[in-house]
Amino acid sequence: MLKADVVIIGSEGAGALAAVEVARHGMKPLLLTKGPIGKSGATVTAMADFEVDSRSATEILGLKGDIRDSKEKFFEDTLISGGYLSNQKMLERHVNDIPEIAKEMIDKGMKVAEELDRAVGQTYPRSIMTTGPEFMRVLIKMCKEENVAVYEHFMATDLVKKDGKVIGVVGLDLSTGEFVEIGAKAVIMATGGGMQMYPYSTAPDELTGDGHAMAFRAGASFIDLEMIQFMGCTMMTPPAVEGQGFGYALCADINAMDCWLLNKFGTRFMADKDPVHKEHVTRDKLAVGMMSEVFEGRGSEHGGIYVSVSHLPNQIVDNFPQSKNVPYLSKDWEMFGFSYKQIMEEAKAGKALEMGVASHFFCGGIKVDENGYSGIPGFYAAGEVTGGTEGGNRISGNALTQVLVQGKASGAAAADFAKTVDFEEFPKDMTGYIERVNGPLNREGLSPFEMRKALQKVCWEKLCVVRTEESLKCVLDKVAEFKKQLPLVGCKAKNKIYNREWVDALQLESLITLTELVASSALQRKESRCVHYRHDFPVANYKEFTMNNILENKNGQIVTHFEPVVVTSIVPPKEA
Amino acid sequence: MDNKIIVKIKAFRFDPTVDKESYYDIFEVETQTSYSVYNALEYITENLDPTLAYYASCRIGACMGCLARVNGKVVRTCTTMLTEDITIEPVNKENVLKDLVMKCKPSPGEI
Repeated sequence: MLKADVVIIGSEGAGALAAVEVARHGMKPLLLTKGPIGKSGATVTAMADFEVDSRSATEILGLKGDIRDSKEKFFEDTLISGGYLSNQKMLERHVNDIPEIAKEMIDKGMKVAEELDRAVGQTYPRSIMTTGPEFMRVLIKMCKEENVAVYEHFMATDLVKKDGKVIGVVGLDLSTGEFVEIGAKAVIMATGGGMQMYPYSTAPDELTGDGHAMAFRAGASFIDLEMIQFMGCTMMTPPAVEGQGFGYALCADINAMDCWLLNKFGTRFMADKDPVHKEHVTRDKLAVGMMSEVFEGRGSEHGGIYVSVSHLPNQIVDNFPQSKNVPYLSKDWEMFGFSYKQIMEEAKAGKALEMGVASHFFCGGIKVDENGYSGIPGFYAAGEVTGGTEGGNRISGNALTQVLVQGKASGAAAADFAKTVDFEEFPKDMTGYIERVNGPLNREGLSPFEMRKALQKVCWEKLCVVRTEESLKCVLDKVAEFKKQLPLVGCKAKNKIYNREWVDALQLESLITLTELVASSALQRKESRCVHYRHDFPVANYKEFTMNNILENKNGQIVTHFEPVVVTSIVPPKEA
Repeated sequence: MDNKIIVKIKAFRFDPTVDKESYYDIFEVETQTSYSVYNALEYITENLDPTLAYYASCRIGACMGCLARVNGKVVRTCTTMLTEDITIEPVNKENVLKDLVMKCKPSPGEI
């Protein structure tokens, strides 16, 4: 049987650095990834900045920042942005560990802009600007230097436990169609968020919550999983650009134009909701503003809103891409390889753009401590699959800081643990694990593609930005139906090598589990805070809910409760 | 959307467990303004032939995972718009895992 001291599920930002750290601690890591390394996952799509306090960035990294900044101020800004829900022990590592990691990556040749940018929510400029592919190029180089082994086209499906301890991983080798067992002394989950719960997403296709589902089945707890960040003003049409952030750059980002967001009656609703900032509000307020219109029946044809630029003189629109205010937009309206020229010509002539929201980032996730430890011996997690760092909202750029800090911390902790234990024999009867993988291939039945779309539709309509007790209970009813149908899902395609329908069927089970976890969490938080908006409880309730929303697996049943937040230095206020 | 037309996609097929030699299948797909080759591949697997294998991830032109040869030229399928009949093949026909998906490193190999 294949074995590695520490198996890391997910090969990108968090996973890659975890593997490097495991190797540096003298243990043998193995990276598992559904895609090829560097060509999958969310890290490579990051736009991409990562945050270091401006003083360290100036003094340690030699970049142009503002030395009035401090780690303490960076800590405070992140805590406030996240509605005081962050685990402050994790946040201390977040601000303290990042300068050294950033220094190593820059020393290894990562190209970064000399001057720091300032993201909304940050008091000082802290954003080190690079690109997702450049970021991954350096992490892969570091993996190569440590001779890290990688198993590509591998979909992990379960953690294997014995006597309460995680002892390995099983899954499907997509290149052969074979069920594979991998023994490990410790496992690190680094599978990212589960943004594919929603039909519109800024995230890659494979982010289907496999890590959440595996962790839940293994008995891990979750924290603040209701906190899902949506990007506003993303494209709903045409098909090639669905979910893309072009509209955000155009209407809402720091240097955006004064576009009008209109409902189906032509009302400029953001001007009513926030007469001062209008369309130029923070991401959470923008998403809530837009989707409240949809929820209240004033949305566009496809369930979004309309954006008008035709009130602006042509020169202003034409000059927008010339200004270089949007670093990824060419002078000829091209962004990420797509030309928006024709769309903008039509918009100038009076055709409204249709824009919606797209799932963007999971602020909550697997509950871990500041070392990435889950509380289950041998099981660690890092990056977006975890919760606790960002609390209820994420400032732009903090994602990559989070994945680096947690990747390194969990790699070190998992390696240290691995030194104290031996490999264990897998159970003799692996039938349940094998059946989970092979079941859909061996059956004829319901289409996984159709089921996934049906699930995404439910999440879009009932578990999106605007939530109510009624909508969340409806999601849970639907989940119960989906769970009954799951054993009836089967593949028309019977080929064993790289069968997308088969993979989709396995991912569908992850998505159903994740949907149940998110809806169960969202039902408990009877307030609106940060990215979680309850139409039936529209304001923040600091007295009762400045608490972490914990979800546990008790014999397969979801049990929830609230826990006090972990405080080290800043006591949350009693009022918003 | 505007300008809906039907185009033919001639796709390279090869399953090493079944096929002695590669061959091509032709799929008819309705395209429209700003409809990508990636959109068409997704449509084919979900509606016409679920055995067609391709790899894609980010859909925003960043990851370079979806590279394929369209009419002989290596392109990102997600940023290549489908405006006419095309032939689509893997980047390197000598190193095919299945259809348009390339083999990766020996499993598990060093990076």
